[in-house]
Amino acid sequence: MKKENILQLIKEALDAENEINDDSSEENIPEWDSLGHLSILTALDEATGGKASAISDLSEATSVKKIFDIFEKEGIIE
Amino acid sequence: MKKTTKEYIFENKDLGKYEFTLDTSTFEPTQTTVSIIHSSLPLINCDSKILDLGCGCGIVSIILSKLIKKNLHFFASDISESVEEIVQKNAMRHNVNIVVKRSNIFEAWSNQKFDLIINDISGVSDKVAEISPWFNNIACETGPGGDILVKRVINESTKHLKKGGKLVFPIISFSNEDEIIDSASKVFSSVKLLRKDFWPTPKEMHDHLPLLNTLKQSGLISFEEKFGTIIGHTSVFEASL
Repeated sequence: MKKENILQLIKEALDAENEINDDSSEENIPEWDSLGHLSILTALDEATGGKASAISDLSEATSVKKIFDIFEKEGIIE
Repeated sequence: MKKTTKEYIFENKDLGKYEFTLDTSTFEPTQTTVSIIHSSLPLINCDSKILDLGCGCGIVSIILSKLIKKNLHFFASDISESVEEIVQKNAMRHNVNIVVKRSNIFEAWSNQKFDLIINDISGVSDKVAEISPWFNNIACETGPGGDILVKRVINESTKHLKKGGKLVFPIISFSNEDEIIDSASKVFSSVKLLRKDFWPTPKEMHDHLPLLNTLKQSGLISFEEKFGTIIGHTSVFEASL
């Protein structure tokens, strides 16, 4: 997956008014609450063909940076 | 014991922003409340007589009244001892008319029939209630399948619905969903799933995964393990006579 696709996917999952960028997190995006986070993870899981659901660190990855770090470690980001 | 009140702000992108007064005996609105409001909106007709069962602070009646600008007749009840005072206060604040009574399920509504009963009384397995933060360690007498109260509502509601009337009720996945649906199917001609919303469980429940798995294997509850967390769901059903 490309990083820009992940950013777009997060924006759509949250139905966020603001743009999502590398610095976005639960701290600065109002829609990124616990339910919003689950929407992001579900969308990532669909986009990765079910790979995301097996990654246990993702439940704590409440920022774009953390999601990128995990996906890089797992070899999901191109 | 003197009850203290607190202000509660409800905000939802689709439903709007509202302020309510709660006290220590009032359950705080949950995601289930939001699911129920969304599910009930398309079922309400002009002149509908609606009962909001387990109304808490009156949030369901008040938001539906504000969103549906029709001639509706809202009735609401809850077992909490201050329900009349709290709901009337919130109704006045939002300029909405609600007939409110303190009632254990249908006790205060004998001989009354409604077009729509919106039930916000649900339950979880009493074993789950013991380890969850939802009941503040208060004993939850809902049985191991968490279905006792909901099944009582389902069975008694048939006596309080007009011809063609509907019951909207939620099922939390930490209860015996199959048993509850089976019970509803026996007394209603149609039971239809309206929506299903997933939510992450509170972290304090994760230490009890072995117990949760035992209950799941017994068919008493259901949940998913994904992303390193435990995910439950709330299903909202429409039952028609």
